[in-house]
Amino acid sequence: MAFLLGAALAAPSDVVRAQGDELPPGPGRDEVVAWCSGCHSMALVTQQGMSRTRWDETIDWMIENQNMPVPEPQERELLLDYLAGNFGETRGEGCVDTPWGRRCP
Amino acid sequence: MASQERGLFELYGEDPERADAVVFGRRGLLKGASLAAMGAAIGAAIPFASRMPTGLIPVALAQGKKDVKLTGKERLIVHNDRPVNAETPAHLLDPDVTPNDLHFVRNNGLVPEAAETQNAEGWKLVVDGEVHTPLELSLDELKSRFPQVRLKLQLECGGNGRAGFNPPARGNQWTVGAVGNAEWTGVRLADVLRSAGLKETAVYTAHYGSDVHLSGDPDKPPISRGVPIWKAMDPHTIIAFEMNGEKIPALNGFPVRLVCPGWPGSTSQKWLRRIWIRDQVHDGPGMTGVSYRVPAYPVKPGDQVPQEDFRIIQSMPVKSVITYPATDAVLPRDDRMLEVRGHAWAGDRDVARVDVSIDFGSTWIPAELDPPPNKYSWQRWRARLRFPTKGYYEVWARATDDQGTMQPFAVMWNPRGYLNNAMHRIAVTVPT
Repeated sequence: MAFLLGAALAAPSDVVRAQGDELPPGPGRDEVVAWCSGCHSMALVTQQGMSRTRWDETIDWMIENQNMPVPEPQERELLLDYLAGNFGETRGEGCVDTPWGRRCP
Repeated sequence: MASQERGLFELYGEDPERADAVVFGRRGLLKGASLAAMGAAIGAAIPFASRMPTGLIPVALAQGKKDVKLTGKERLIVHNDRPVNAETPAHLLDPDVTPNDLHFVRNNGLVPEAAETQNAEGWKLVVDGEVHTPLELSLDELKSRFPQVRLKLQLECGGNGRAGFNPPARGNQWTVGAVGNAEWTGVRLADVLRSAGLKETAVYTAHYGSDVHLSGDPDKPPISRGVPIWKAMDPHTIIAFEMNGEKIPALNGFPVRLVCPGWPGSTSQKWLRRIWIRDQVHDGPGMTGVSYRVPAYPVKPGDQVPQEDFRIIQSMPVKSVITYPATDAVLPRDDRMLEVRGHAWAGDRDVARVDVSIDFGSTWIPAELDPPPNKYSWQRWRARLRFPTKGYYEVWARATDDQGTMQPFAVMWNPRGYLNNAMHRIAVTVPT
């Protein structure tokens, strides 16, 4: 794994910067990218605003329906901390303008 | 494996276009921010995470959707680039017939290679299950054995309007533009099913496409939904091979797709390859649990609802969109007149009337409403407004269907964020 990340860091710096713009930094960020972006783009994550319970259900759904490998419990906690912390119901990347008004996660 | 990833990465660093061609065997589907396209390309090329010991892929391969444009659909708003999900800005829905480059895209998996290259060679449609004579039809046979029909048909994503849900519902955060009304050429599904001869045990259709599951698992359909036989036998439910007189774009299901108008778009299987007639309600991916289902009763926003209380969505509800002007319109000075217009549709029903308000719903002005050119087309409406004073106005449009059901003001919340048919509103400023 260290080698993989090493390879990543050897990438052009603007690529690294682009990811930094994409997702808030913090513990679990790299793991979330790794677990989620194998199948779908991170845009599917950053659009959401869900409670920890709903994120937990979403991981269950991904495992049951979308072939996600089962994370170890400790790993799962790390993913949930990051997802619910950054894309929770009350905090998030930002607000969404909808035709029914501005909605903030 | 790591060196291979790195090799790809370096390839992309040097020449993204060439790398894209190497990885996909074609020019990139996505363009725009080359970094995003690069990430998507590498991500798709990486073997599924479960086959990697740690379940990790290099963090540098993350990608987003910023500045991503879809080739051939440059004006759509991209919500997600893998799988591709993109909607049409409301004002670009103005044409009566939605052009191919403006029709929304809702994909669950990866676009098949044959669609990307517009290669229909060897394409077959299998019709099997509860039929007397299973069929295997080539494209030529499909076109020649059955009468062709050409219909303008409304197609709307079941989750259109999800962005209005609070608490937010999981999924693509569609606003109003996951809807379109293209002119489709095809054959009636009913004619094909009659040719196969439905057994008395036939209850439901099960649709299969050739799109690829995001995990790369070849045995797992990304989505497989169906409809009751009565909907399949409706003369407006068609197996389409042309969209607006052209080959269907790759993102919209080339070479052949179903169009089950008025129902959630997911029933209109793209890249169609098989219709399995079943003796029970279909239970493929997207049919069970809480997918494309809503509670059987109204629920408090945010409530947990027992899974057994969910019901499969059938017809989409009455809805309208204001397509002219675009929101945040400012009238010219010394002008207080404005013609607003848009479309209205009502799933399996017709639209009976459309009313417009400029005073937050206090009073309503009847709009002129055209009949549909054919059943299941959306309907044009227009209204000439006169604003009494200068100031900030909101224009609201409210359609009513032929059963008297109106669009609500509030968003009717459900756990997965389906069927938001709340009224569309735009802002208009009158300067003098």
